[in-house]
Amino acid sequence: MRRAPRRRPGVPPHEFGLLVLLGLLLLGGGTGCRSAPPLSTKSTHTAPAGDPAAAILDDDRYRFCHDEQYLLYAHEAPWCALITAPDPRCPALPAICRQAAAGHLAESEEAEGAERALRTGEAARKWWDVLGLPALVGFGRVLFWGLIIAGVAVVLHAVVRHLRSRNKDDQAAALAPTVAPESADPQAAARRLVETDVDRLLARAQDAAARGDYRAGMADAYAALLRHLEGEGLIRVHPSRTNGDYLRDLRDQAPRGPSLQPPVRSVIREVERVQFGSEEPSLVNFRSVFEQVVPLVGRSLPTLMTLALALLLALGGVTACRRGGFWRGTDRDSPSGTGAVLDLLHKSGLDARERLQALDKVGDETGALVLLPGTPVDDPTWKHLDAWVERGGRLVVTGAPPALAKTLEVRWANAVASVPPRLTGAAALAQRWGGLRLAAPGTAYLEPKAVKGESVEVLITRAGSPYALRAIRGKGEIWYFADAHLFSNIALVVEDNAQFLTGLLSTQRFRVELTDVLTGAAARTPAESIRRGRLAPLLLQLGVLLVLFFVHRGAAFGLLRDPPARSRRRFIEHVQALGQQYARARAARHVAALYAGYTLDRLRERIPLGGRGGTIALSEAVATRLDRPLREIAWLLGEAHALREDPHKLHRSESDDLYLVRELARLLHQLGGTR
Amino acid sequence: MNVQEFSMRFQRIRAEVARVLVGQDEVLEHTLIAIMARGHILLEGVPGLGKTLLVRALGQVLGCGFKRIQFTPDLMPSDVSGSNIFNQRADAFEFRPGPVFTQLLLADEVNRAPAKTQSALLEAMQERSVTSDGVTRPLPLPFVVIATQNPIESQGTYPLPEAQLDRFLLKAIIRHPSQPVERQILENYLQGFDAADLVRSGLERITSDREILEMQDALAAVRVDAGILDYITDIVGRTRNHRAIYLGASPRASIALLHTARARAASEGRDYVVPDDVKALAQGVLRHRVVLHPDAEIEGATPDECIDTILREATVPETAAA
Repeated sequence: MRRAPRRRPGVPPHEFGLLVLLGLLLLGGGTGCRSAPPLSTKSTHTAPAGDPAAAILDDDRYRFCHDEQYLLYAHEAPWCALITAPDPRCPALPAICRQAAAGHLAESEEAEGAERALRTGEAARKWWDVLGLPALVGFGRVLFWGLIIAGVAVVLHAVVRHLRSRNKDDQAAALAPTVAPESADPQAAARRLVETDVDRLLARAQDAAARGDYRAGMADAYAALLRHLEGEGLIRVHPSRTNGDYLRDLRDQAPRGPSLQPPVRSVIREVERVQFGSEEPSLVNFRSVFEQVVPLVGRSLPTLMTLALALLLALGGVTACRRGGFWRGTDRDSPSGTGAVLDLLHKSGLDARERLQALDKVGDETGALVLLPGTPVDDPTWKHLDAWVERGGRLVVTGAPPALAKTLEVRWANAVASVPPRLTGAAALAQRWGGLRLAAPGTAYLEPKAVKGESVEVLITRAGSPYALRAIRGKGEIWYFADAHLFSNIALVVEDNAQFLTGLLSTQRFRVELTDVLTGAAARTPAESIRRGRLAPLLLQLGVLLVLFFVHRGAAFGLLRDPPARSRRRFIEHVQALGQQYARARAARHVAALYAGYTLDRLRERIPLGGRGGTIALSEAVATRLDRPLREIAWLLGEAHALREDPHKLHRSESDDLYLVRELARLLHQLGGTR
Repeated sequence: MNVQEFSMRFQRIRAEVARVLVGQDEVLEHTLIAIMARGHILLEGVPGLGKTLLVRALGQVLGCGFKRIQFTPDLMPSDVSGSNIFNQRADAFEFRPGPVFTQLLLADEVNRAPAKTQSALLEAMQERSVTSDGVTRPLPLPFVVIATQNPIESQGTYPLPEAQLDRFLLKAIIRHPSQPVERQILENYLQGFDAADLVRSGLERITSDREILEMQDALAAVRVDAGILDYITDIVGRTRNHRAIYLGASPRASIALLHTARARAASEGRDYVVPDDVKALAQGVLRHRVVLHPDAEIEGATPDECIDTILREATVPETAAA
């Protein structure tokens, strides 16, 4: 028995290095993107009472109104021309605009894409398109990220727990009582620790070799190999098992086991030569065994796995960041998002929502529909929308749907020179909503086409060019806007844009839906969802796997139920069953005859009559023994005798037979029972 | 002869016999080990499994004298050992040797003869000599008895007494061959093999009786570690304390286990015994040396099961697991 090597408690050096590496990589991944700064620069303000837009933008979600370090995208910067003075609705915006003016803008390819979309109506690329992450909204997004975070937490917890348990094992090994090498004390032997950890066994082997104890070193190295194979499920280590048993285990563990047999046999040969043969242990022997064992136990694998895990986490940290390096919050809550617009409409009593379903399903429950740039609309969909408008819907078209350029009665254009942002309402507009002041940046304008039989009405102009047109269709109307700026969050900060939006989208039907590039992206059927997700091969594989599983295990046909339990019946139950059979056969006389004979035989066995074998003598003896009247006993035994001799001679009823049986049983019981 | 030469020759003998005896590798190995360890072997199995073929093939391959005694209920001891017969011409008794005077003796169906005849083998097996009318005559060396017996459940059998069973170094059980092995046997017969005519099958003589003796002497060079001795005594000692065993194995069993383990080690080219040698031979050495309690037998326990239990409890020396 060898002395357990002492080691200072604590994390082993190589594990400590891995931990540091993991931490650094995680830190690197985390710092790849700057985390959202605490709102130390938050502007303190009080939202103007009675202004719904101010109440909504007061929420911290809308960081562009509260964080003066917030960076605008390039396509959002033009709004700064309209922010000339601090506005209590969005107090941080002037400072943000000053930064933008100084050239501090968030860099983002997708932002440029969004700007391009605003200008051209091209589908905007979302950041999750770039990352390939699912574009989820609302609870789905929360659930998705919740699952990701939970998964990572579980993995980290498992890693930490594993490392801590190994650390405890180390401490236990270090504090374990050591036993003299040749101790024969059984209690001491019982206290001895059997090392099962491959790493520690290898370390122990090296320690032993360093001390010059090559025999112990070889034994530990070989033990490490066995424990590794046991961990792989290839062998079962037990004190009663020989090396030959382990080789046979490997032979039976196809496909990996047989391939490991030759190298393991080679190690066994070398170890046994020292342990049982005449060969003296030496450094050469030890090195030979150790160098064979190390590749077999694959000690580099955990390190590689740790590195791979760290790399994955680091990559995850990097890709979870926006490319601009500054976390602006979600796009929905950014200046160019629509989160505040929806909140405003909600606050106004409307049922506002983002639409994911296809537009050809728009029903009459929807009062107003806003087509934001990028919404996929084709001719059949437009016909459906046209019919919906005819029935009283209000359709708002912002930006030019490319597929409908020839269909619509307006054309989108851009002014060459910059134009003032101030929007001017036509008389009809003033008549409808009063003297609202509107403003939006940009150079886009509309050109009405001369379509026979149809007329459009210019309601808003910018620098004399039409900015918003209205076309009446049946009971409904279509509003065309030169761009989508008025339907963004930042627009609510400027002039009376918020009131205009609320008035524009308020209808009797209450439901307002905003569409974008994701509209219609939802699959209509489960089959379509599978096709889009390219899950068919996976499901097919799963199906094949299930079939193979059931073929292997056997499929259950019919209702599963436990087999009837087979238990032994008590003797009395057999007797009762037999009695019931007799009763069903109405064989009381037969039973009475059998029992009468049985009783007489038992009585004759138990009561010595001294050569007098008659029924009278037996009756006298029984009566004397039981101190009962002789007449009564003589009648009972006489009946029993007659019944045994000829059961059918007596004319008796069934109840008489049962009475006789009962009385004979009582007699037997009084004389010691049936035994 | 060193261990390597021993191993080479052993494997050649084994391969040569295996040409005609298909699918009984373990029995063949145990038989050869018993021969090399200067012991006798008892083969148990139902008729038709190749017991006689094994011995005849061994006789031919080993180059030793071979005789066979078919044990029957009316076989007399003198039919085994020989007897003095009066020579009228010489006017004197002269000894006519029995079939026991050979090197390789096949005692076929040894348990069909009564105990008196069985015991005639006793002296020959133990002392390797025969005494008749006060004269002791040595048997030619090497002398090996390979006895076969039918399972004691068969009709018309006389169980061998414990004292005689203990003389056998090993007891091997011959079991029915697997289907592929049986098919191979049939194919051999289709190709002209005839068990009654081994000369035609081209069996080569690998050794001589002198070389067998050299091989037996070579085992003395096989080293046995102290841990192995502990392992052997542990196993044999446990047979005396097992709850299902009425009579445990004797020290002769320990010696037999030691000798056979050395032979097995040498057969694999090792000059040292490893625990696997002991474990591999424990059942063969011990199964006929233990007597089970009657109630254990009624419960269906067998010596092999009991020994297996013991092997699962005995701690192997130098194990990494303890």
